[in-house]
Amino acid sequence: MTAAGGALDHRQTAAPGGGPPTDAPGPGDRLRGWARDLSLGARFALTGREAIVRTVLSALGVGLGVAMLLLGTTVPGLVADRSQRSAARDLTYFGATLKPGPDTMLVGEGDTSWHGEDVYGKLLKPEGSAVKVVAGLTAYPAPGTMYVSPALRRVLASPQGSLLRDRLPYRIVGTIADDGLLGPSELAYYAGDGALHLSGAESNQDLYRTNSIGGHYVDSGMNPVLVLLSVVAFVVLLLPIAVFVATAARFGGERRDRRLAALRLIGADISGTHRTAAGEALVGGALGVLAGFFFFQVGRAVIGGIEIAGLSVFPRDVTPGLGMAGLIALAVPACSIVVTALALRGVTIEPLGVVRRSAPVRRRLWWRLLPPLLGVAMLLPSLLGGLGDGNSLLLPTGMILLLVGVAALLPWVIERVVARLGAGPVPIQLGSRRLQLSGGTAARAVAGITVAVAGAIGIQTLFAGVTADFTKQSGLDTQRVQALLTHDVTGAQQLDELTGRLRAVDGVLGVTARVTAMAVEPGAPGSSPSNWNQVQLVVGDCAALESVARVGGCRPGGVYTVGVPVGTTLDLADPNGDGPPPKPRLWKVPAGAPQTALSGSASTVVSNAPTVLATPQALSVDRLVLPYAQLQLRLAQNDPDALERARNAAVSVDPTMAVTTVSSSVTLHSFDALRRGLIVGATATMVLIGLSLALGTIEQLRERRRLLAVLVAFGTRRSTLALSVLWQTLVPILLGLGLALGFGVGLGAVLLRITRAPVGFDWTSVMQLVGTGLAVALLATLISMPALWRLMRADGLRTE
Amino acid sequence: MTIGHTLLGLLESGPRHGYDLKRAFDERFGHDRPLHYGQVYATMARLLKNGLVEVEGIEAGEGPDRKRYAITDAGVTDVEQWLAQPERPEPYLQSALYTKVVVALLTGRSAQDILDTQRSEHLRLMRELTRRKAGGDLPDQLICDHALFHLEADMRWLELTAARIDQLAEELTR
Amino acid sequence: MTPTTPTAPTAHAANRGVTDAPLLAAAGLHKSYGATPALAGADFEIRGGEIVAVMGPSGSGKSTLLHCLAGIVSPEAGTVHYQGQELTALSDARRSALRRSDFGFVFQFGQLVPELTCLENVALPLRLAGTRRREAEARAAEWLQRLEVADVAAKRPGEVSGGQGQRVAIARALAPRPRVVFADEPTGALDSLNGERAMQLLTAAARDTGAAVVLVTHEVRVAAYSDREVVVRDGRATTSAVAL
Repeated sequence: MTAAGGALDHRQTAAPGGGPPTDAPGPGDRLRGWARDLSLGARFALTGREAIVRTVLSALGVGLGVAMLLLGTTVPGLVADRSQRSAARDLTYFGATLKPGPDTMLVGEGDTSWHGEDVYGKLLKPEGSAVKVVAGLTAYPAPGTMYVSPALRRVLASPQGSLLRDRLPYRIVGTIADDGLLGPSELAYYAGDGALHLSGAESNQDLYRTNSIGGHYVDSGMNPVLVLLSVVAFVVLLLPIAVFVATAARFGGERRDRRLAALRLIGADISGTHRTAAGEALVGGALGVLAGFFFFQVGRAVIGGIEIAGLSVFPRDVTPGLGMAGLIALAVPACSIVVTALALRGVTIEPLGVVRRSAPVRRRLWWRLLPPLLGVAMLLPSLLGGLGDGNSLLLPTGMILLLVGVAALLPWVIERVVARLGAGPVPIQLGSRRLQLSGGTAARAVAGITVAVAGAIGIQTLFAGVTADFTKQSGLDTQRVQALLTHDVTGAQQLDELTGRLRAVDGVLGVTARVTAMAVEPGAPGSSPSNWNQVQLVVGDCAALESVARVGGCRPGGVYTVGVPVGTTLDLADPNGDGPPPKPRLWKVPAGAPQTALSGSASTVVSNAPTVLATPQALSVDRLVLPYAQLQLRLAQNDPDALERARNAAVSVDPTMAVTTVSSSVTLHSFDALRRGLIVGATATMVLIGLSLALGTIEQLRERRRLLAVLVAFGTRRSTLALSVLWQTLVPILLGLGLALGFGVGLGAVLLRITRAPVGFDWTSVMQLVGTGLAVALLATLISMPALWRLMRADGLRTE
Repeated sequence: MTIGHTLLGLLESGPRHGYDLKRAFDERFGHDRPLHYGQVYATMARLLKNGLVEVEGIEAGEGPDRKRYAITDAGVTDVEQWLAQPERPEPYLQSALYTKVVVALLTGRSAQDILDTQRSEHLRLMRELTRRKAGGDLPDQLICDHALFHLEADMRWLELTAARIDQLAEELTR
Repeated sequence: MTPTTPTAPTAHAANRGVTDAPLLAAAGLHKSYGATPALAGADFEIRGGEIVAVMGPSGSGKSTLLHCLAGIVSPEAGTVHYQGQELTALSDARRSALRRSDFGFVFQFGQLVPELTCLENVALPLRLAGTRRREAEARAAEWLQRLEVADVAAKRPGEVSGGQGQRVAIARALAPRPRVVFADEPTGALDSLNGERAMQLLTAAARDTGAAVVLVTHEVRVAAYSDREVVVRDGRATTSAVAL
């Protein structure tokens, strides 16, 4: 009332300045008129308790969406920052063998794990005074001391950290600065180790000489399929948010229409009322942007303290691009205006009330089919030509169109299906009739979830399809082997020491050890050693040999061959290395050695080259060059510390020896990170949309409070109304999920075709996603139930 | 009978001279039609004859009437009966009703009761008309409606007066 | 709080020679919304088939009295008896069931479910009380006929006039053949002619079916359709003299 009165005053005072109404208004007048209408709308948004509640709801909804969008825009920068930090502390040296010099340093890999968390560790021994200091440190630690990350310092100081303290027996002398860490919760240390030395000039993967401190990072060049996955993930996560922002701008639409009708009564024209509505929406949108930036700031402060799916980030790394932030700040309010304008299209606001088209125009199918068809058309080049450079923009655009198609088709599908409903018990009749009258609202409410599920199914299918490519079968029976240690050994003595110490560990039930090395079959005199046949040697006791080949009746002293004739003389010293050729170390395959075959599961551990398998009694480890040991550990299942104790035992032999856990498959690291990110993002998106669904339902109930009170007066059961609300949500959700299933599977198939992976579906996961969508919708309905209960009191009848 | 009852009511608060009565009457009720002395004299004579008032004393001096009148028990009862009796609902009723309300207030009786009684009487007639309307033809209905609308207007006045009765009492006793 | 006024109805009953016990009776009702008292010791009685107008100025507590009588709102003090049964002691579910089976309601506006057709609206309380859809709709059609709005059966409430809508609402209140119809300003949103017609149809139908009507109104001409009136003033109900 206040606002309407104000509007009247406004118009009366404005009339004299505006000249006689019959005159064509000048551009200045028009501008002033626009400003007036817009500010009037803004006042509407902020006058009265109801209006403020509605505006706050809109602002909250839009704000949450904006915060998510902002977070989304930080991801590329975040990834770049992590890569940069990773490069700044990289010590890897690529090139010709280095001689010790003033700027060289020996680096031992001290990486380990602590109850499932990776610990980044380097053992350092600078060989001169001119070694550049790595990022995060001010000086290199002296032998026996170390620098640790704050997170590692906390772990070491905790009572549970005693095993890790034993493993890292260095005195803490300083803290690694943030610019030497990937994230605030990363466990990392740099230890000085005077005992490091390279026997020959040869570096290996666990111990090497370097003069390249930071900056030599070589980008692995992201796999094009990984790039595709990232793009899909981005689209899938952000698109539903965009849909959500659009719907949040429409909270409280019906009441607004009535207010606009009051405006018409006092003489505003139709375009004027539309501008007023735009002004009202603008306030929600603008406040939403402010709220979004605020949420984002808060979230950023909080983010440093949390770690999701093994990822932690520094707050200051979470910085949206200035351009993107600006774009969001402008585009979101603009979007809320556009949405309002579109919403008012179907409504005729007459001075004495709002006339909704009583028989709504039947929705047309043809234009709704355009986005998905166009999307498929845009995906065609990739489909036919595979992943290339030329179609990099077409691909995401096509996907977006395909997913938007779900949102576009949904209202049509809902209208068609709902038109046939209405029979059945009262709750179903009430719910169905409501859907028939306002199916559009229902469609908008669930559009976000539908798009999210369709996208998630698509990406899940793609993941499942390409997982085969990114997962190496480890070929190990996880029942028999739970941990693995692979490392170079210096000889039989070290191997025995290692095996002995591991066997002595409490909780280690068994250790099988085998050593592999390469030998050559010397060719004709004068021929180049590089053309000589290579032979793989595997040395281990019968149990160890049993694990890689069929060696029935094996006894100490036994020798078996795979593809190597008996009596062949092998040179155990590989003459192919750097420097002058070593003295030949000849060994003859004994005459009685039976032929056998490698067992299939051994393929990843032992190559399929011609192989000789020998027990140590027949061929001593000491005779091998660069023997490479693989120890398989069987651990007590219910003792999580057994693994940690085994690690300590290994480190006591050589600090660069790391024990890793075994799973039946080994997943590529970046692939895993991507999948984790997707899970985190999809969860956040779903929760956000669920929240908006609940808000929408509550808002709708609030607008019907009088009717609810009347129905209660009639003796309507609460369960009847609750069921009708449920039905009203369930039908659009089920239809939406059905559509999402179809489109998601289709999108997945298309993406799989593009990556040339075999088309197949992981139905359990797909149904899980559909189930999640359903669960979110049901949960949202559940959240709105207390409001329904509250509104069903008789207070709604009191309008006097 | 209204003037007689009104004068009786005025006497209830204490004995008065004839001219006092006329002045009091004019002040409260005679806005457009002041009483003539002759009217007062004639009315009082009739009341005297019916035993509703008595002469308390006569002052010496000149003038038409120097008698001091006082109300008798019979007179008080008569006022009571008059106030309790609802007026026949008819147009232009308010002067009679208003008089009753004021008299009740002046004599410390419940004006609300008078209004309620009148309300019921009005409503009774309205019910009757409504019933007649339901059974009648169109001319009947139109005639009934005319009466109903007039009665409704009276009822509005009754409601309004009821709502302002305390205010009126305050003004009268000031 | 004002003290309870002595109940007048008993005296009237004797006057009228009505001997049957009251169908619905309330005594000493107190109810307040926040700090504002709506009822402060109100009494009320109605007999089977009786039409009682509840009158009084705005905010006097008329509607609250109706809500208490119908068991929609629980009074803070006082009792409501329906057919000798203490209403305030019943569970919410039992009271709802009672409202479905024995009570009917007509409000001033906004009572028809906008998504349902007029026919479905009338059939709704029947269906809530367990009648099968086909039968409920057949009976609803009869009632629409009776209230002279058979032609709007297939329309939605948004598509009919105020007078038609109110008649649909009356049909809906009467269709389950309730013992008591609660009508809260049933003509409040109608013009005189439509209001008169709606009242004629409502009272005629109520008399036919023997339903009692609690008629809350501030319009005397509407109250004139009643058998007797109760005036609510400052949260207390006073019954005026019985008029026959």
